[in-house]
Amino acid sequence: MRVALIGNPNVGKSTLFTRLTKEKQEIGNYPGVTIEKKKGWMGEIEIEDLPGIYSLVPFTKEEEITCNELEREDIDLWVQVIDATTVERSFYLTLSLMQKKKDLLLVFTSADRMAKEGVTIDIFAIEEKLGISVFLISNQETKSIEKLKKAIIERKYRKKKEQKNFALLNVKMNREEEIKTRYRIIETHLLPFFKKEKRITKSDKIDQILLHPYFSLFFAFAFFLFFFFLIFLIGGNFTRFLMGKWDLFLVNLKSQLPLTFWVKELCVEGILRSVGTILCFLPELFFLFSFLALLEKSGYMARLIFILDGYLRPFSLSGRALIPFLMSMSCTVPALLSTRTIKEESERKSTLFLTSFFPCSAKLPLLLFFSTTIFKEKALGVLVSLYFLSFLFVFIGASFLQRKVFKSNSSFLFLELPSYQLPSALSIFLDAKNKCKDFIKKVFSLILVGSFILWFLSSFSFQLSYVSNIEDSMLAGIGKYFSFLFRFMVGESSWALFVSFLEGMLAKEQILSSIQMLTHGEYYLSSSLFSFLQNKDAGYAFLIFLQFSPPCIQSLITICKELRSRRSFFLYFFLQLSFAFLLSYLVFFIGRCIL
Amino acid sequence: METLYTMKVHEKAKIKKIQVTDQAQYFRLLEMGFLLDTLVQVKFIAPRRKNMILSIRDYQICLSQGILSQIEVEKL
Repeated sequence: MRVALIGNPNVGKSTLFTRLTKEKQEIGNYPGVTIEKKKGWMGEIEIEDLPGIYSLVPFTKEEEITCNELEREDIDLWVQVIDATTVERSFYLTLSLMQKKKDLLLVFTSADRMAKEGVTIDIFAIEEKLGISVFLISNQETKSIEKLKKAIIERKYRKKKEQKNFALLNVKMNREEEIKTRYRIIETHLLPFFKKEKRITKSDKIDQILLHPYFSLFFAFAFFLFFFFLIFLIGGNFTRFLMGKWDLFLVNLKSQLPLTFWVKELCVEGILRSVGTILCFLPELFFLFSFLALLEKSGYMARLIFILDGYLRPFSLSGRALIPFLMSMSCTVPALLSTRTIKEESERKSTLFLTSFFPCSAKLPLLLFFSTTIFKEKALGVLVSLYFLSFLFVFIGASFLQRKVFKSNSSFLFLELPSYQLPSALSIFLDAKNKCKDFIKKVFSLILVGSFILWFLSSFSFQLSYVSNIEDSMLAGIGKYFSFLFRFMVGESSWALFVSFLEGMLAKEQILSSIQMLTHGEYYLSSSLFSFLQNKDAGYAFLIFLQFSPPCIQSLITICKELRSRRSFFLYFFLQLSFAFLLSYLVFFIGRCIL
Repeated sequence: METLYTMKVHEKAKIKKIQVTDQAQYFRLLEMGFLLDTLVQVKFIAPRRKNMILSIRDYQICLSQGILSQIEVEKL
């Protein structure tokens, strides 16, 4: 048996889904799109949590998916979830669903909030009026859920033939008349069974504080800081701790493995190091997904969008885009994954394209080191200017991508505000766990292959013999071939710079050590490379390239997976690389003219 | 005729005309219950007055300036 959970957004579908399926659920994607597909099992019964809809005429991509799913013949039962405190729009959907003549069951959630908000519903009268079984469930107790489960399993609910002819829209009428007629039916036949006292709810009180005209922005940024602190300080430290332990383990393993040198290198550096890198990321990702779920389920995400939207809308972005942008200053991978909260596809793509424009925590030490080495006491000003350029180009880039590349016309905001809720720990845990699992499933093999290729190129010569010095490797050969790209900036040592950038694809932190190694330790001011960079124009151009060049391989693979299109990924890679080169060339030549 | 965009916080009005030219947006507004003579109240106005939170029927919705200025109302 297959059951579909349907309903308006934010009515408690996901909470009900979690309570029905417990841990037996999985997250995937609908074919060809990035919209999440949630599937779970209640014994033998398969339950699908469909994206929220308001009517059967789709307005967004998510609604289109739901409408397509509702056309499927193999779904035996539709369960419409309705928030008991806001029923009018849900009844509109009920009448639309009834028109399809399918087994339908209504579940009113938030029974626990009804008394607090002065709401009363005569569910028996609604059941009689519509000829549909109606259940009232509470998030606090299990008895009502068990009753619902039993009814679904034993198929003890009113069947489609018992439904009253309420849709009555068999008569030919245009869409506008149809909508008006449905609302008239709701007002005259259904709302009399629903009473709501005029009360100031808890949500209203919280909104008075968090949406205060003068302090709302302050609260939004305080929240972001808190979010940052929890994810990157706590989650990040945990990740670094695990990485340290993993490194130690690898060093010990390397010394103990009874294998030939290069086989050991392959196992440890080529395979196990990348496995560790992905697994050590998990605590950070788990924190990220938990907090995104908390943000979304608590109802504050909608408020954040309301507050921030006005600032980003001129650049064709919504308030949701600010989360990945701010997060990318710490780590690009979770930032890229947080774009999943952006509902509009073109906006999500634009955000994915631009997220790596901000320097992550691995790039920042490099920028700090080089700017201090090159610009000395002016380093701080240089760093500030780099951040300024990031913001500038992100906003210009967003406008360009949205208007010219993705041709989006989303210049409006249309968002329902749910009441504040305290989501259950289990639903947040399961959400985060499933998303981490999904991430590992998607990127693990690709990161492994990518890391292996980079290791292979840096460990073998073109004659396929193992080399102990990277200077003799294929990677160095490739670097030398493309060294002309940097020659005008840094002269003969440009190949070392290029190879370092290639090696830095594994982890940006490696760039510095790689440059030091390739210039035979003559780093700081003595080597030819650094003395070239002593020219302010070359130095600044180099910093620009460092900042805007494509991110590490983990981020690239995440982008590829999140874009779900190779064409879009290659477009992204091409745009980012050419932009980094063009901007650094431009800065170099302008600098040369001025200085 | 005044539009929703010109209203202040806590003011109430009745919807008189929806002049949204985009058909999809127009029907979505109708489906969300923005029908003739429906009562609306402004709850919050976003910084820079770009968006508003309105209370309509039994729920709250956030609409942007572009749409708000195309909904004509009669203040109560």
